[in-house]
Formats: sequence, C-alpha cells, structure tokens
Amino acid sequence: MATITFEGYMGAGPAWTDLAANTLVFSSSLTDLTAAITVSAYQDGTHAGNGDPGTDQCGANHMNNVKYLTGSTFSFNGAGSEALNDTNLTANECSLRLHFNHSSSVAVTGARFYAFDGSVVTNVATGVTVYGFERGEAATAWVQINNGTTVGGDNTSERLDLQDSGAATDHYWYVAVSASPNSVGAKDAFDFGMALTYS
Amino acid sequence: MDETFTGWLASLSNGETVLEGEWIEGESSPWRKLLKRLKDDNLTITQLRLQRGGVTVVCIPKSIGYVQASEETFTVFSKKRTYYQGVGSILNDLVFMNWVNDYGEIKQAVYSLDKMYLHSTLQ
Repeated sequence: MATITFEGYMGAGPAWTDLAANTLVFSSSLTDLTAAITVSAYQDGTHAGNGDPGTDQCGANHMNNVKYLTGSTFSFNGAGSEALNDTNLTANECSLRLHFNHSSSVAVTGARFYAFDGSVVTNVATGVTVYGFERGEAATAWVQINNGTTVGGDNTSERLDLQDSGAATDHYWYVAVSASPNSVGAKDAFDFGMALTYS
Repeated sequence: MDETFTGWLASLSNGETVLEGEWIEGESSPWRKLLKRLKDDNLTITQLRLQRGGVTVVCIPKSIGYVQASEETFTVFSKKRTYYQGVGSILNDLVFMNWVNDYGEIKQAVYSLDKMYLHSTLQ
C-alpha cells in the first residue's frame, strides 16, 4: 500500500505532522489563518486549516512560514532576509515535508510538486504567483511554479522537480513554498499536487 | 492466462514466465526482486505485458530492455488520488510507456531513458 502525505512541522514538539483531512492555508499572519494577503505581497503565515480556510489546526506551534523575498532570498517566520540555501534553511524550517511511504522497498523517480487549478493537473492555478524550493539539492534560488496566467500545473519547467530516491519504504522531500495573490478576492482555483513514479 | 490476474507478466530468456507476485511488507517490490534475479541468473526479459482494469498491454518483443513502474499522485486541497501501473519498451535511449489504471484507462508517454533508468532492466 502506497501513500503520499503532506506534512507540516507543527503542533506539540513541534513535529512533522500529516495534514490529513486539513489543507494548506496562506495568510498574512503567523498566528491568524484568516488574515488576508495584500495583492502582490507574499504570505506571512502558513497554516493547516480544516476548510477554506476553516479554523486553525496547527496546534501548539504553527507551521513554519518561508516567505519569498527575492529570487534567492527568504524570510523565515518573519525574520530578516537570508540567502536561500541548504545551510540557512534547515529541513525542519521548511514549509512542507512530502512523504511517500510504501510497505515494500521501492525506488522513486520523477517526483514533482506543482500548483494547479484544482481540476486538471496541467492547468495553471488562477490568480496566484507561487514559488517553490527543494532543500537538499544544493539549490540557491526559488523556482516559479505558477504565475496565475501562463506558468503552472504539472508541466515541464513549470513545477518543482524533486530528487530521485533509492530503494526504501519511506521517502522524504523538504520543500519551501511561498504564494502571492495577483488580484483581490478568494482564490478558488488553486491547489497543490505531488506525483511520482516508483518500482 | 487468467484474465482476472492483475499485474505484470514477464517472459524470460529461459522460457519461463514470471507473474508479479505479492508485495511483502519490508521486502523489495516484486519488480526489484525480478531485476535482481535477472542479474544473478544472467537472464533477460524477452516480452513484458501488463494486465490491469480488464486491459492487457503488450510491450515490443525483444527490446533492448524493459521498464515497469507505478505512478502515484495526490493533491493537497481536493485530496484526489490517482494510480497507474505501466510497462515500457526501451528503444535506443527512449522508453515508450503504456500506463493503465484500475478502470482500464490507458495513457501513453515517451521518456528519455535516464528518467526511467532506475526502473529498467538495464540498470
């Protein structure tokens, strides 16, 4: 049996915790998931919500917030600008841990994380700009995975391609993600997905 | 062949046909076990098929190599999961894959070999 889970570093501890039935919510506050983000600004809070956004399900500690500042810098939980690299952004500071588990030992290739419109995985998420970063592959720059109009979806060069992983039962990818609204109003056509190939 | 069987079927160079076996917790997948056996016993696959969702797809016979893999997807907000199993033939440095889901829907894709090498008989 295979499962993909999206995990946030949150709750008591904190510890990596499956979002499960909850979803990922971006807001303009580290503690309030209902605080709207100004157009063209990037999120100041990342949360687990039980709706759209619903109520906060992060627990004692909120999910980490990694905010896009420039193509090669970020702010962690409201702190000052840092260069984006594996030294400055530790694994437990990432926005998400993508976890693939299989009861048998399998090798994984072609893993990728993408933003899409919630209906068709190759469609652009509407009205949002999104950047992603995978920790652990010596990258030093954000990757734009959605621009709200022409870039986005599970398409080559428009998604975050993740490292291959050798034979094991558990596979982890540590990812930072930052989003900004392009216009005023709710973003209903906005979802994230993960895909991978294994044997 | 039993048409209700689900999984891959590999014809080997020694005349034997191997069926995808049980996925056992903590052990290598059936495909990885077969890849090891091919190396250990100096065998090759001469034909690879996949039965799933009432559909059978057949790879090109006597290709220079074969690929078998599964594709899993999941979404954050809508919680949609998809699963496809695929088999492919290697021609030069390309892999021609046929993917089949549990409903017998088929999709085809071509990959560069390096993207599928870990799942191939050439590894």
